[in-house]
Amino acid sequence: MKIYEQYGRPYLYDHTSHATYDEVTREIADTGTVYSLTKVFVPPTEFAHEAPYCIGIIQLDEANLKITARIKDGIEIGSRVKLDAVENGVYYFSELV
Amino acid sequence: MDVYVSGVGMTPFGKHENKSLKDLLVEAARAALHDADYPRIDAVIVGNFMGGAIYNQEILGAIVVNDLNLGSIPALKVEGACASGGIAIRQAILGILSGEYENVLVVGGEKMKHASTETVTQAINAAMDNQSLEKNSGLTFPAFFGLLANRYFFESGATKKHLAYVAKQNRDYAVNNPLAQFRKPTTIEEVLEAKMITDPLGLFDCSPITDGAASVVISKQKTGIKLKASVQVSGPTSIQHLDSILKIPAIVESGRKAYTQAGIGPEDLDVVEVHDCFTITQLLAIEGLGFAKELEAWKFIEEGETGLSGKTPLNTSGGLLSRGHPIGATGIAQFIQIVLQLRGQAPNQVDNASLGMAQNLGGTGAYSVIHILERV
Repeated sequence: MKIYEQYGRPYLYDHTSHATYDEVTREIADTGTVYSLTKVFVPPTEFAHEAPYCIGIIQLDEANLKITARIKDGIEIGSRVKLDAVENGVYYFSELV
Repeated sequence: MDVYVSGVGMTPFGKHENKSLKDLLVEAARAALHDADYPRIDAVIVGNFMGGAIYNQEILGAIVVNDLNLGSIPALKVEGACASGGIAIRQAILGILSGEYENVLVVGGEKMKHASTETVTQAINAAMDNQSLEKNSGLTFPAFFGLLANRYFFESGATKKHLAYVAKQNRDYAVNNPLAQFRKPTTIEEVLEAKMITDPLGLFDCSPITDGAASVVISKQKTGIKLKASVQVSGPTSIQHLDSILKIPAIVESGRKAYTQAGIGPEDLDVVEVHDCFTITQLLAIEGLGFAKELEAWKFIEEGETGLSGKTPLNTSGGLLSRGHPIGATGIAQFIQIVLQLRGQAPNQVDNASLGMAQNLGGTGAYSVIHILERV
């Protein structure tokens, strides 16, 4: 994963970023720890076909940064996870084994 | 500040199949004007969130002015998600403090019950940043607060049962409120066994979809209810940047500023309404506003401190959870409950209440508005 810093705060370098080319960016490991999670049973219209699904907040290992991501079912707070894929701006994590 | 409340009015909250959004706004406004003994109104401010998105109705300000035959006075709508009502009241106060107006009619309302839960869930999601991982990942408002609840359990040792105590207490209060959406008593067992919306939040942990409107008249001329503080702050629109998701910065900062402005502390308040869009949000507000220590609001409730004879009687209207949550009306309905408490006319009346506070949250912590009122 690539991150950049702005006003001393780290951000993901992704499609939502406002970073310019001269920002400082660095590569970090794709691993982290689950900070919190939930399982959505009642979705909004645009995700109705995917419910139920699990969402977690992941504390990344190599930056003071948490990100919101889809996670596999059965994972708990404190579980070690790794990034599997980034699709359409959504991050997918599964348990690190 | 020399600003007063001269009238209040609201419709029953619930399902109003045969009333339009206009009907509801006008009904609440008429009640408030009657209560204020019909002063000359100088401006109308409407609080509304999704009238355009799910009801295809805007120009609410001018509609209210015309239907109430108020002449050609200025009117506007304000939007701040679930804080739209609180922000509308604050704009009225600022209008009076500026010297431009002497009496401002504030009315908030929402028409939601005609739409499906999926449609409403989607429309509420407009209160998240579209360019955020939270929105893209499929987070809903219940899911956002579900994340907070699971982390709260992890750090505090509280369980789903402690959230159920919040739902049960607010329902017990709503049973006595003739305008509340849910007046049927419930039990802890029923709350715990209800349908799961987003883990760990079940149906009773979530505020409902509601039709309704509420209105107040804010005036320069002295009445028995005086504004002691009016504060609005903005907070982060994304939680993933917070060091701890259990301290919503907008709640904490609005509380700090309101106490400073009023020259009081949380222990001085006789009665309080906080924004309980979910049971967990009530716990975080109790802590963020200083009524209980961090990670201890669940004990504060379990020990009865938010009951009528506790330290801080809280959400005596039934809260968003059981009074109902017609989004644009909510901040005004909270404010009205405090006015009624200070007048000695409230359902679940607190003995001799003289100082009260209403706190209204918008988005996932994007806005927080606080009003402190005093009986004079």
